[in-house]
Amino acid sequence: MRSESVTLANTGEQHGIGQYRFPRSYFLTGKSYGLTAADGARIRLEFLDRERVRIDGELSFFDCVPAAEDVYFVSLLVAARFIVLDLKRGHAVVVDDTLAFFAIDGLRDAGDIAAGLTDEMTGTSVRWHLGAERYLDQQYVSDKESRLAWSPRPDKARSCRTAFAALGDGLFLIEADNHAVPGLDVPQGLARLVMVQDFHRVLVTGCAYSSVFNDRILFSGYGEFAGR
Amino acid sequence: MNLEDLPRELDGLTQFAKPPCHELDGERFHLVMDSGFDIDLEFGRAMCVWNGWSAEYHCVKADDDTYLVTFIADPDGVRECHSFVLDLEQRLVTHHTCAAGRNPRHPLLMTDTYDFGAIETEGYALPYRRHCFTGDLLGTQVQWHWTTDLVSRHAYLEPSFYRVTWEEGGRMEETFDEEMSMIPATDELARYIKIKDRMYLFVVTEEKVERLLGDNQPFRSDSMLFIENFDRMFHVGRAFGAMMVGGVPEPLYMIYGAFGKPLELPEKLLSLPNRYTV
Repeated sequence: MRSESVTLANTGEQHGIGQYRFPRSYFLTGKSYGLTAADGARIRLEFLDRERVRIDGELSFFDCVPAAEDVYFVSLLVAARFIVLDLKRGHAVVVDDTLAFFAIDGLRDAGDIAAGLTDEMTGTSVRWHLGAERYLDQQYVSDKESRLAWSPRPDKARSCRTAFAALGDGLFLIEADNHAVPGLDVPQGLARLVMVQDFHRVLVTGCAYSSVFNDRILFSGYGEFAGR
Repeated sequence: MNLEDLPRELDGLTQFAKPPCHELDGERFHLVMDSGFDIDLEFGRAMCVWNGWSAEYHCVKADDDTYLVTFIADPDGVRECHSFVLDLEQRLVTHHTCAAGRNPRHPLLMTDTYDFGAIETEGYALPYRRHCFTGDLLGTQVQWHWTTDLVSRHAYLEPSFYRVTWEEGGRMEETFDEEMSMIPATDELARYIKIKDRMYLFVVTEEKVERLLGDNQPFRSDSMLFIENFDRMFHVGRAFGAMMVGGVPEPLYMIYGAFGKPLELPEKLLSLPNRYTV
């Protein structure tokens, strides 16, 4: 028998809030998608290889992490843009300064986009575990506001502007200002959050980022309802 | 809508499974195996062709370039589970096979076989290194969170065994305590294979509990296979075996996953001798 206080598991904290991030997905490599909004606005995405995407001719590096089956969370290194591609339900959400909803050509008609803003999350409180001792407490106060607190200071909750969108089948997209001040596990300056939260599996995939420094940390994790 | 009504808690061990991976759709691999029996694998979205046999497969990723592919096949009339660790970073593969029905006294008992090999890649020589059995994990203790209230605690103490315990008062203890109180110990047969630094294939065969309890247990000789990623602290895996439904063993097969946390178990628990070995 052998026992040691230092074990392989004890080294599992080196990625901070990105500790539990799911493996990157390369499913989109080589694929192209046309997105069409209800107002006729169009976007063309061409995923050239594992790292580069062309968006309406503009080249960007990207990272892609799966958020659920056939749902891909794409983080583009062009300013502060994210795209959630939901190939299961045929819609996409582009997150820039606002949330913009699109149908994916060939999968859904632009007049039939099912994703949209919602207030269904109001009243829910969840702790998202993103690493061994790294977590985000999130309380959904209204359709425009949530209260956020990062480890290790759950007592320091702060109200933040938040937008909520329903993607369907228990999936939600959350875009929020982030409470990122010194002394928290989220690095200072990563002042915004974008997340896809799957309430069937109670899993989250998302990104904390700074549009000023174009810096970002992708994360994944699991949720625990408050009071359980 | 109350979001707390949405979780599929009855999913149990499968709730935190990583999203299924469909990246291999359209890919073909020729696996040069050390056993001398090479394998051709060809993937569609849901089906794969394995040496000419067709099977529905599941795939989850253990890191950006490591895939766990698993499927059930019965080419000889025996229900077998094949699992492949396709390591595209090092162009290596581990093939694990298990099946019941080979022990006349315990017909549900699983038999495991392992084969190591390399992935043929045009323009490159075959690697000579292999995934390998290892003692690297010995001494490691880790707590796996399968759901928020299903938590198991693993201690990797010996090359051929592991020790499992549960949170006091937790749902795991509630589920398994009565069963485990009927046997000498919770130690169980296990193998450890190194895939790469900080990534291991860990395979448990619930053989001791099958030999000792037989029909007096809900799960029967399950083979539980995990790729444990200690860089990111999660595992992906699958279970294959049987579970009792109305007193009859029914096939069990599931894809699962969990998130890990460091753990320090009490010394008195770790220092208990293995009661299954001389």
